[in-house]
Amino acid sequence: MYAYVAQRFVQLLIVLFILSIVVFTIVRLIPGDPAAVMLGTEATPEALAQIRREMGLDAPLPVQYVKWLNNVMAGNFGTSWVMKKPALELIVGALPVTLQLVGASFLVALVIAFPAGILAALRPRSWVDQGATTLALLGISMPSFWLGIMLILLFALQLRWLPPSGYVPLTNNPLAALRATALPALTLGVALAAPLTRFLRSGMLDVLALDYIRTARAKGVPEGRVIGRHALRNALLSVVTVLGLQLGALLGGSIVIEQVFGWPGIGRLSLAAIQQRDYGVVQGIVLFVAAGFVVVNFVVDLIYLYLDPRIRFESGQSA
Amino acid sequence: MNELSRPVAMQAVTWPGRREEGRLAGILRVLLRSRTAAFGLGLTVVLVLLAVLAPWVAPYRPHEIHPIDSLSPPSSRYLLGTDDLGRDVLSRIIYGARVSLSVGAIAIGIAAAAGVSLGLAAGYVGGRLDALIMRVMDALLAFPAILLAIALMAVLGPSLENAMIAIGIINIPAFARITRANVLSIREKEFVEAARALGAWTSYIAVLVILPNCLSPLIVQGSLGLANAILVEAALSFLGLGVQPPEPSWGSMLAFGRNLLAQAPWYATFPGLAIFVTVLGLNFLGDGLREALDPRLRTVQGEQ
Repeated sequence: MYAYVAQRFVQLLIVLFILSIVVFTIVRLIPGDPAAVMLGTEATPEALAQIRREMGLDAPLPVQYVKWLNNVMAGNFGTSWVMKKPALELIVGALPVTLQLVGASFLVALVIAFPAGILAALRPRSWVDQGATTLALLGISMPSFWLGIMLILLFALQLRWLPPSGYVPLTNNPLAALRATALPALTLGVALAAPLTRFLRSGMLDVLALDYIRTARAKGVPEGRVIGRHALRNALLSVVTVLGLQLGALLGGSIVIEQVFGWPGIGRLSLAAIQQRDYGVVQGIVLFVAAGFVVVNFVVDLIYLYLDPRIRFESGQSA
Repeated sequence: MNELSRPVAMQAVTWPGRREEGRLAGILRVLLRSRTAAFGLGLTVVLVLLAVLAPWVAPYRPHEIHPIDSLSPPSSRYLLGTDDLGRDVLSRIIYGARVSLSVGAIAIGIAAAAGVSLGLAAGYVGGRLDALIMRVMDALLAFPAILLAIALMAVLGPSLENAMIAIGIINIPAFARITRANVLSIREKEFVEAARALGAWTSYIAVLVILPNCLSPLIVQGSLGLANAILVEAALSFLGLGVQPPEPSWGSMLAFGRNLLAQAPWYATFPGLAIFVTVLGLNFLGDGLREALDPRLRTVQGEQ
């Protein structure tokens, strides 16, 4: 088991390493070098050369990469040329906003997908199943930002039940925060619930067809226990794996949804940075989010290991 | 290889590919038997026709301004209302179909060309090349797709062509993985063995013997990928990073409509509905194709 964890950890490091090269390459590909962007219209060839020297841009690329990687390891993700602040500070400042949105959406998605997926699998081809599958396909096809706008139209502008936009931190005023989070979380939650329902349904269908479920039923185990303890636990395994990947979609979706509801999160920050050509921040966000995503998937793998004893035993024997 | 063996080899090795083509009518029949797949196919055909025939179908030019009629609600003159400049929303949606479908199709074309080549090389050559290609694909997959697209648009600068490139790049890993997996399962089959024994060139075997037998899952991936590419293009344009105004794009129309939601709810509603319907049609088509092209799936469903 430890061998397996160690092996996965090494894989994690390799992916992070390649990731850093990709981010570094993307940043170096930016047309117009940073020195020219910094100096703007006042750029003279001499001034450009001096800035390039100061920023280490005249060094060979591998040297630049190692220097850059050293900085990143020390927590220096680059500097905002516009805000005159470290990129990391800006990212950490915007992070709670995005996490509040992602966390709430995740809850909404689980609340929708679990009953829908399980009920659909229990009665395949029934109207419940067809309804759930159709709704899931509709959910996958629906642009989430449009759903958000439609929800604003209905619940904020027509019915006036909820505020149309704005962010309230959960710690400041929980009730106001709940009202402000309801619509964005519902929007993003529905977007995640759709694929999750599909995975849960097919996972449950696969497991329910297995022999041990028939054995359990034949033994007279109550149906609720068969579903809850025997089938669901196993079906969860396949869901947990996709959950990590779906988290990336959730993060990407939150960038768009923040824009719809005017939330000052990571999405807002990255769009502002792109518009102002503040590449230090763009680079920091891309690296931060991608690394976070990789680490989360690593943690998901560990959870998977905990949930599925088969992996533990198999790797224990081979190690 | 002597003169006699060549035609024999060609016959033997291209046969499975040709059978695939001969089944085209059968695939279409299975496709049309499913209501949802037929619906998806019909919807997609209608949308493509609308896009191609836009100048003849749309009631107005997409950039035609009617300042007196700005923000007028849907009426018999403007079926889906007008925007803040008094442009006809329906006409802009019809012309927007050109943008969405062409960005999606070219992006998926780029992704398929690059992804299939990489997957073919990785799967057939194997070894270090395989490891290198697949690790780079893993790294690309390590980014949330939208974030990678946004980062690439930041690098390339917002424009129609760059949106195609960025969306193409984020879709490469899916095509590479599918191709590689299929190549691995096919390359030890007898007919490939036969071609190899007859002395066919590696590139000949890879492209003309193995590739035709990987087409089914690639076609499915193409239609589902197209649906996703259209969603991503809309999201990028909504964020102001994709297609630039005044070019009519569903995503950017939605962004402007969002700011005028209280005064003109139709302005945001209909472009979004257009995205929704298009993507839904392609997803239905993709699911239907999967069932039609995967005989395994078909028999399983037939037995149930």
